[in-house]
Amino acid sequence: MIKQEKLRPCEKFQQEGREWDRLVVHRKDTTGDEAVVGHTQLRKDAVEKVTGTALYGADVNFPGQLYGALTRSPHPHARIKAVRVEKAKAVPGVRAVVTGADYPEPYGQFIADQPIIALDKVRYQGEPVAAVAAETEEAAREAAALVEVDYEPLPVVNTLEESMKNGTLIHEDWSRYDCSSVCFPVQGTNIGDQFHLKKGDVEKGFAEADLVVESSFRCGQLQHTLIETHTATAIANPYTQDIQVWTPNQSPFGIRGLMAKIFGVPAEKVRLTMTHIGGAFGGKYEAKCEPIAIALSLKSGGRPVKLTYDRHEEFEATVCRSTVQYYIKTGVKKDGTITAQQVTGYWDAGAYVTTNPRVDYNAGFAAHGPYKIPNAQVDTYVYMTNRTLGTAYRGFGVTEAATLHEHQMDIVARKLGMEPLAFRLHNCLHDGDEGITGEIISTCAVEECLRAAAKNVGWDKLPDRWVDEEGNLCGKGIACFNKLTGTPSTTSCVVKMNENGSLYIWSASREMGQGVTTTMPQFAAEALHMDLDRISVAPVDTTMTPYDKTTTSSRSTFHSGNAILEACEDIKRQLCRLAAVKWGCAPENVTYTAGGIIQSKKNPALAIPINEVGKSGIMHEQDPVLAIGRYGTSDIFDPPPVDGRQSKRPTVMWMIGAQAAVVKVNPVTGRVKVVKMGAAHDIGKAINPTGCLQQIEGAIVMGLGHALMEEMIYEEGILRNGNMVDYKVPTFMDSDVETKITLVENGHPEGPFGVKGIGEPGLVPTAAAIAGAVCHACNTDFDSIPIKPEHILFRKEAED
Amino acid sequence: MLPRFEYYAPADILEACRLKAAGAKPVAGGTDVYVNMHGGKEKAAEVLDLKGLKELQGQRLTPEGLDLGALTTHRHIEEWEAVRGRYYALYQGCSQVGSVQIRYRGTLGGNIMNGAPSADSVGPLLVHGAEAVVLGPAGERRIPLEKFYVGFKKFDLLPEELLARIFVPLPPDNAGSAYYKYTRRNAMDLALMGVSAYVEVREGVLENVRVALTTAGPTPVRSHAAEAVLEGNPVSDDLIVRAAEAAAAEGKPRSSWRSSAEFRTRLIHDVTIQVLHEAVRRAEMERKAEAILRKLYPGQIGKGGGDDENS
Amino acid sequence: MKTAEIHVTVNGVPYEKSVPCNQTLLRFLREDLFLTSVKEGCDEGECGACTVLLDGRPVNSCLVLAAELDGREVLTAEGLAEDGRLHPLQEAFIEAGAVQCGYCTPGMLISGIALLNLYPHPTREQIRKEMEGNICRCTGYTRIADAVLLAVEKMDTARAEARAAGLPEPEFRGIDGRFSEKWNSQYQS
Repeated sequence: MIKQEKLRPCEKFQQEGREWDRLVVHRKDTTGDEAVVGHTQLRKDAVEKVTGTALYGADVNFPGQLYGALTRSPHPHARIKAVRVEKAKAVPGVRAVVTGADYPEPYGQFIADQPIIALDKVRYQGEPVAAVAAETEEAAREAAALVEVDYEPLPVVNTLEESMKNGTLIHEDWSRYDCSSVCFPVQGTNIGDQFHLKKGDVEKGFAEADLVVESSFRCGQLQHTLIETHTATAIANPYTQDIQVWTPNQSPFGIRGLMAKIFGVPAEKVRLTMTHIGGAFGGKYEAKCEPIAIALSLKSGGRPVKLTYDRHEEFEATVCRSTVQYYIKTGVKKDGTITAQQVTGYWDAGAYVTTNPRVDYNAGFAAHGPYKIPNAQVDTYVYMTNRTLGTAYRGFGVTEAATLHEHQMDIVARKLGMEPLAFRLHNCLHDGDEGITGEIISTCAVEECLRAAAKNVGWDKLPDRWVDEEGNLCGKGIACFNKLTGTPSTTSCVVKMNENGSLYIWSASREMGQGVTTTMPQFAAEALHMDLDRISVAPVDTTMTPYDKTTTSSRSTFHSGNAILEACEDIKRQLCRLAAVKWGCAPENVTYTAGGIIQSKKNPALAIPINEVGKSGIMHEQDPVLAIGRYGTSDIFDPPPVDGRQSKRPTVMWMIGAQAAVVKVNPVTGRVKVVKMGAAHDIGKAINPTGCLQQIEGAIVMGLGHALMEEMIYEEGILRNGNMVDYKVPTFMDSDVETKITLVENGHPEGPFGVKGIGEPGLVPTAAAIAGAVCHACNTDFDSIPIKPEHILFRKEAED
Repeated sequence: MLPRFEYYAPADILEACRLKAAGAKPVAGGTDVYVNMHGGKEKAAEVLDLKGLKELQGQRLTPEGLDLGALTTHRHIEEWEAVRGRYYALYQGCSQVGSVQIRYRGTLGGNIMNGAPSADSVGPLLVHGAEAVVLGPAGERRIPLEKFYVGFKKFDLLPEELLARIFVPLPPDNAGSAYYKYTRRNAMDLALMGVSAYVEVREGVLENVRVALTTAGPTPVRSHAAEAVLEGNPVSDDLIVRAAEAAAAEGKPRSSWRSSAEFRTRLIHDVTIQVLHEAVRRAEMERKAEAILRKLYPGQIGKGGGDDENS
Repeated sequence: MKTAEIHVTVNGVPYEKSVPCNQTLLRFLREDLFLTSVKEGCDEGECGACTVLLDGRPVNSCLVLAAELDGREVLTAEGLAEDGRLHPLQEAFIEAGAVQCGYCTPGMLISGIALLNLYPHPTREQIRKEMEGNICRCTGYTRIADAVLLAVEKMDTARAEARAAGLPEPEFRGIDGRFSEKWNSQYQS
């Protein structure tokens, strides 16, 4: 055996100043001289991922495992007259067939409108109508194809506009469903939820304005296109009702609650073991394969059942980012001061409400962007159509909102004759300003982000539009945003010291590529002055791991970090007590030094460095060292009332950032090349700088796809491009974008070391900046994304 | 996953012909057939793997032209220096099929027989005047590729015949060709529109012009209208524009969710201009380079490619 | 026939297996040999997550039949590290930050190996082109290209150090025909 040399971050990529830099605005609980936090650390999950040993959802197998397959509706909207399963059951190897009749109770996080398998009606193409478990995948698929279903096709609600007529209702009677207090459907319509925000009086504001500008913007329907499709493997005992599921899900406790409800068992009966996740981005937040795999296992006498969706199922019948059609009206003074702004929006949420109320809510608070707007209004509606289900997609609606308000900022700036960046700087929020809910804004570095993003593309030296030597139309665009994080929310962790002095962190914050299994140990390493190598995150299992709300909303580093810091303080106390026992002194006479040494105050020679605590003997047959950390935001939360959503504290933190884009457009082919992207994100504190950069770099290429390439195309409720060639995510060949990133550190008073979030923010302004640059280059107000070559060749240039 | 099927990989061509006549689905690289099977579109009960048939293997460049076994992969063409110089359109077409992984498996024969209107190698083969060589129990038939296509996924091919080889005549030194594949992204994409052109330039006059359109009809097709505008006329920007107009008028793209007919028609026009310029440029460039080399090495250069097996 | 008997070498280990004729190489590797680094992303050759080297050439294992494997050699990401030591390309992926969710990583590594056989000192443009068939949703690709370039440096350094010390040059799995004589011979489809 050759010894593996120790790996370290490649220095070339650590140097600040070339492809990235750091701008410190405000330090909180940090000097910048920390040993672990603030320095790039290698990902703790990297070795198993490069050697192929990391187990993802479909890599988990059990002896005696059956394979699940689904019969899916070919119709987007139809009444189910009959389901006959005899032929399917007769296929050799079939062990269970489940239909909607087996589980008639619908479920849903916000409103229980969705059956796990369609019962009386199908509402989107690909909706499950029966499920089969068999000894082989081949037999399961064969049997699923033999399930006979009589459908009576119903009129298809293919578009938002058709849905808004309320002529055909997707859900005839909302009142039949169990509805939470945060979902607002309208009986007798296709409206599944709505959101209203009102600050001041927009009519008064428009009356005060010198100029009122109206525009609209539409964001197309997107698929997460996770390379790992949805999958789950379940073992559910029909006699004890004990349910176990192995799944790559990003919300273990959310899914546990839903499964308990669906199967009518207490939550503690549901054990979810989390595998590695091959991409999530909000797409693995809903329950998809889990309930069906459980139902099949129950019906097959408790045999393990694996259910994995293929790529076609993934496109047609999992989740997506909803289409949204926005209208915006802005009143502005001649000097560029905004007096009022009104946003109206309509989401095409697909067939079931799922997470849309949360998308609608988050987007609603962000719909006006990080600007001072004395009179503001938001009215948005979630409309149901016969399409696949809308859900969270990296930004929870805020990406779409940013694309809207930044498009409008460009139009208003042009009409005022103001430079787009100057117009934004004139109106952007600063500490002490009043936000959209009446909140007094703090820790808000939007100006710094805008300036840094602009600098990163050399903004000042570039005109709005120009033509290069090859005849390409070139332009620049800039966009900023603010995004809240889900509040209130709680988390907890257990930090457990092993007998050898190493640490396990038990936290349900899920690793899904964002690097949380590295940042969480960094907090503990810094707090305890312990070697990072000695700290790891335990696997996540709902029977053992303490509660965390979900891994969404860019909340993990902020929330889990706080919980870990609290637990580490307790670890220090416990270790001091154990040392006191060993040394025969009072615990208050032992201190835990800043350098990570457990030391006697009276006799400094009695000292145990933390990295040697395992050998010190102080833990030998003493009380195990085990600490709990908790963090929650219920106490600081001022619930925004539904009539206007005014609140002194709607979120524990606002995430802020800006990106600028330079593009060139080939006027002959209509193809767009994104030449340069400059980003600046206020991450509060970069715990693992390369981790932050990875988030932003990846998001930029993802956002490039959203701005220019990706859209789900439906005709009469049938998805036309449900494969990875016709639905176009960016490839390696599309990634040649010169990128410069500034990590802005404006420490948050409540964030651990000042940290904020960066999982979603990298994506939020990308499409907006690119769309803005294309609009500038072509001198055209493209009013939707993706902006396709067809739009560019047949464009109508702006006249003013 | 793939449906159940019986698998045959004969080494004998007549056995292969018999299996095909009996209904087995011929497969070469599998980059179309297996994709369709995974997606449930193809449900053949019997698969006939052609890769063991020596009549379909091998490829050489001779003074007469390019003799390609139907099993020649796109990647093989892409990496073959001598082909790149003389059959530039073919190089461009083959090097833009799918991805590297697909090009290592996908074959020219498969690209033709899959019959997709967007087949990247077919437009270039058409403009280079390629011939299909088919084999069957009754022997060999040679058919101009243009005639080999008789409709959407339909060929001049008997049930017991197989496409065995493709022959592409050696272009003269004054020839140039080009292919433009219009896509929405830069890799792993299908041609939304493709135009291929082949020209010979003699004293500034265009001869033996061939233009083909991809994704403009049920099969890749020649644009005889554009060719008629160009043939025998001196090269000029105006002439090229008129040819592009003729191609756009002749092409019959449909509106679909992929794009409107209007957009595709515009693309035919604009892309034809670019491709013709490129083909002419290459014809003139090749000629000049050859002339210099001929002066440097009298009697040694310019008489075809010789036996190059790209080994 | 419905099943095929194959002799195949995977990651240097010879296997004799009987395989159903409709089984793909992807399923064979995952289900029969438990090499789960080979990921199913689309089963249609459009994502590259199942890329393996077949006789030294990168292929989508979802579009190759196991029945075709007789007498051939396969390399998967599991076969890159040897004797307890990571491959320079694996080290580079870690050190350059080219790994995030990790699902595309094994396929990327294999395409990287194929690329380095073709271009021992690739340009970024060559890296992009040769790895075009592998989709990644997390990284934005740049760090993957960085990692390939870092691996080149690592291998060059290791070779130079060996030369300076008068030792035989180190060999790396999948690179320089290290794995098989056949790898540099012409690929026959």
